[in-house]
Amino acid sequence: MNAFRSLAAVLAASLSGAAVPAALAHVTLEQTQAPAGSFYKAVLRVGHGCDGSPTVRIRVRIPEGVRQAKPMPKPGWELSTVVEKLPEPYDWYGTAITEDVREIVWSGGNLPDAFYDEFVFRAKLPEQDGLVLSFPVVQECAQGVHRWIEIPEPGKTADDYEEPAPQLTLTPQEAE
Amino acid sequence: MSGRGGRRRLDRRPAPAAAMVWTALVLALATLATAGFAPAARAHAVLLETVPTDGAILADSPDEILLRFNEPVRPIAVQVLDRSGRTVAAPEHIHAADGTLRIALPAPLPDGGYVVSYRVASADAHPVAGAFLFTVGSAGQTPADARAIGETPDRSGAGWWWAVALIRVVRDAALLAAAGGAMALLFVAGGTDPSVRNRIRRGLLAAAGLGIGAAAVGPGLQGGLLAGLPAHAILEPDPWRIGWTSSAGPSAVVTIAGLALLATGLRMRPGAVRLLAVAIGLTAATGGLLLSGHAAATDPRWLTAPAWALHLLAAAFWAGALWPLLVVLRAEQPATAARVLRRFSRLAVAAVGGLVTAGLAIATVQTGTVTALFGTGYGRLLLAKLGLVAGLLLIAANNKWRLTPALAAGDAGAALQLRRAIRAEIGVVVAILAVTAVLAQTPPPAAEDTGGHASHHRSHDHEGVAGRAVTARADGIMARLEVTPGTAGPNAVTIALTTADGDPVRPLELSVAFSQPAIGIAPIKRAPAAVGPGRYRLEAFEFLVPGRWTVRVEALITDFEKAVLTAEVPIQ
Repeated sequence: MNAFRSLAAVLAASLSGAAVPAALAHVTLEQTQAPAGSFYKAVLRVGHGCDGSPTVRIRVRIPEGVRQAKPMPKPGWELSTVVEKLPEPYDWYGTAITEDVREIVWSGGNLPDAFYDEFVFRAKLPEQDGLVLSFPVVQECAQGVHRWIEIPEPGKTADDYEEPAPQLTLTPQEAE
Repeated sequence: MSGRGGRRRLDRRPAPAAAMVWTALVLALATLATAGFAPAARAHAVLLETVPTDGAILADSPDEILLRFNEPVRPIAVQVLDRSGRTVAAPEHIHAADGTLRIALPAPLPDGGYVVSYRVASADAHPVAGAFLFTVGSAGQTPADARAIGETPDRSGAGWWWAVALIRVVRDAALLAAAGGAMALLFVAGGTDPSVRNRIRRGLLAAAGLGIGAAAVGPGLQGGLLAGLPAHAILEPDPWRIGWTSSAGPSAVVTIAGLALLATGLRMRPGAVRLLAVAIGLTAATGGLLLSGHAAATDPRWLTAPAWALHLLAAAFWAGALWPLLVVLRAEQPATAARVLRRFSRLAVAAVGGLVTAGLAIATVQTGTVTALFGTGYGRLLLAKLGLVAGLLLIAANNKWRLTPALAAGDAGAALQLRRAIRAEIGVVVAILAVTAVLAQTPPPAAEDTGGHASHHRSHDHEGVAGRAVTARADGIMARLEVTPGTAGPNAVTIALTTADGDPVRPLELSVAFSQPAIGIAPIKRAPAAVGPGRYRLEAFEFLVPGRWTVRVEALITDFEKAVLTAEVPIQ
């Protein structure tokens, strides 16, 4: 009976494993929708390394129009940002901003393949509702790399790709 | 061709002839070697996509047919034929806007196979032709024989092609003779008898006249070639109108005006005005050539335009001076002739330096890889030209270091030998011009057109590419795929990535996947080896079964950007 139960469990596990959307294995955003123009707390979920190898570095590209990105410090990881000059400056509460964070890098850590972790930053979203923003992520492991950078073509979804970029859809702004 | 001013210098070098021979060899080898590792450039219009696609089987008749090119094109002959070869879309149904050719279909097409045959002029005035097939209704009617219909208009090009090449040789020879001869007359032939200089001048005027004639006829022949008209059409206005309104037109106008000014200058009295007229005239005459052909459409312009100008002026000086030198040798005393030869020789050293440097730069931009150099008609022609140039350098070296000092020393036989050598040089120059004319008409390796379609050029370059060639495009990047031999079994696959302008794209990583979704062959991933800037090659990929294979190229452009290009390759 025990043997039968464990066999059933193995079967169930393998079946459910096959049925689980691939998204669980990807690097994704916890919240895939947020109001346009809001401050958004982005939580990047990293569920595995690269073929068993631990994750040692996470880089995320901040899409154009997303402003004032600020990463949350993370024990055990060094934080750095890549700041680039903007094609056009914007007004930030009376100050003209000419350059902004375009990339956030968490490095020097070690996230074993068997463990799960989250990488957090916050940013101001653009005002256009309905806009879909892609946050391409490069996950570097002790051995190997995953590039979560594929952006689905029109008519396709992230499920059609092996390594889709985490995406966020902007919803109508909340009433004040 | 003559001693490099002063004996003292010669005395210090014990074996100058050997030195020149070595220099010539090293220069030729260096040119060969560097020509191989150059990025590819795209000179002609390239068909990016068609709607319907080649080989498509449609349930219903399309409303219109689209052909999208990478640059604006002018339709010359575009037709849609059914299986019996009847035209189903009249010329007034064809509209071109930017790079898109739109063929409206007046009535729904009945079931059956159709071939769309096109011949367009790209910005550089070269004809690009091809054909593709589609079927309306059931698949059983795929017109295997229709491919032949599509290729028919291309064959008419051969006569025109040779005529254009021939007139180009005449024009270039006359232009080099007139422009280079004028330089020789002004800067080299001083101190000779006035009757000798008059004789040279008359010859130059005749050459200028011949050049003007050839330049005027050229666009008409080019027009005939572009339109794929029958040979007798040269007597009708069509080819002339088409030729003169293509980029060959302005090119001819500038060249003719330059030659006319040059001729006028030659008839003036010596002085600053004459010098100015001749200088402007010969610059315009040679510069006019740059307004058409591969040179006109090859990026980067900042490099190719000055390089071509330098190449042409240096070639004109060297080649154009040969005939005047022959006249001087025949008519003047050995001492005077030796002085003229030495003066020419000093300038010729600089000209050859400029010629080789500029030629090197152009070859660098125009050819692709070493494989392209040896494996394509263009590459082989380029090699032939370089071989001839090396031969010319050897003759020149002998003239300069052996015969000219002998002539100066009063050796009577030297004059005869020099005349013979210079005649040989003229022969080699004409051969070089002939190869150059064919080169100018043969597309560089990367500029051949797409889709495995019939092409005018390919009919003269059978060995160029056997197999399948398709182009995919996405995110401003073009991937040209060549699959050889294009039949089931192992195939060599080459991939060339460029921007729409033809500059090579160098991705951080590149992978390619082959699949045949229709029969359930999932993507088979491969990592091709890099063989040049933006060029990749898989030596043997096994296409298991015939049919339409989907080839998906993934190129990592930056850490965060991946370009995905998909194309379909028909395997037989």
